[in-house]
Amino acid sequence: QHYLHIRPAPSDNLPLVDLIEHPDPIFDPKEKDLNETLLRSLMGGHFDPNFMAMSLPEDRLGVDDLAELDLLLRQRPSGAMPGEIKGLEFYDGLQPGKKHRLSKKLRRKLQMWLWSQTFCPVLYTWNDLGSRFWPRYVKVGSCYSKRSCSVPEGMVCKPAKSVHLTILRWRCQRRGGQRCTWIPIQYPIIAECKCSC
Amino acid sequence: SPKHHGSRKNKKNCRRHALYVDFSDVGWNDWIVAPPGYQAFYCHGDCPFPLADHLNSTNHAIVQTLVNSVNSSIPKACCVPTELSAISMLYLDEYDKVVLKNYQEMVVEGCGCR
Repeated sequence: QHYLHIRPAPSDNLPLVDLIEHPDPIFDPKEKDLNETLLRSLMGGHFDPNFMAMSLPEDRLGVDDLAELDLLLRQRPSGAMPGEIKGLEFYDGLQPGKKHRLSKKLRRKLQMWLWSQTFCPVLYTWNDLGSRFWPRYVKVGSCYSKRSCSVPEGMVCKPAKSVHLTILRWRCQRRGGQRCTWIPIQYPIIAECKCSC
Repeated sequence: SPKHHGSRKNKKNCRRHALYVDFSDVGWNDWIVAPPGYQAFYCHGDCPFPLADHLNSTNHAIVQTLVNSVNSSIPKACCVPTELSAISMLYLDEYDKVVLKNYQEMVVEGCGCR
């Protein structure tokens, strides 16, 4: 019965849509299932305190703060200047037929301006996945797309690379009564944004 | 009466209907870990001549419906999803790993005669 193998195809599109959860609390882990020491050992080497938390971290950024953070980041791009900008030469075209290379200072200013316009940082926010995931808070990336990142305008920052976090999911199965266990799962997050069409 | 006929026809026109898919009913609970099922909806109904605005049609569908009214060997336009949305699913992949990913076009948001 080959038709049984027909399945819908997953997409690598991010960010993830919220998972639809069954409303019945019988599928929730109980107090006794949330022993931190035990769960930490189940996670093995996958527990990453930079991206996972059991309670909402203090330094949490709200959605409203994102725009502010973005402005801050845009003014001061970090890391090494992209090669495409670093290699640019500028000439003034004031006198036709004569090309004058701009001063080093002006060239640097123009490069910094282009860099700050086209820079696509990954912005991180904490997501609450609910009690059926452990740890329930993960830090997910997003690309700021409310502003164009190209000159001339038109392109926006879009996800370009993803990585996955390994976390635990409370899985319940009906096999002669309800049986639930913690299983490791892969949770993809945006790791790189690029200025794209 | 034509009036009665019209209202009965309207009721059967192309629209979205509820459809809850329980993955255990279709034998997919062996590879889908979560959710246990979801509201997928489906499109069903008539696409009668002349196509009304709310049937979300295309110029082509209007033309095809018109041709059908004079030549019945050409079928009417079909009642199909015109807008779909994604859900995420936790599933067992080909490497036996449980992965959370988006599945595009899983839920009907709107129907139309196309």
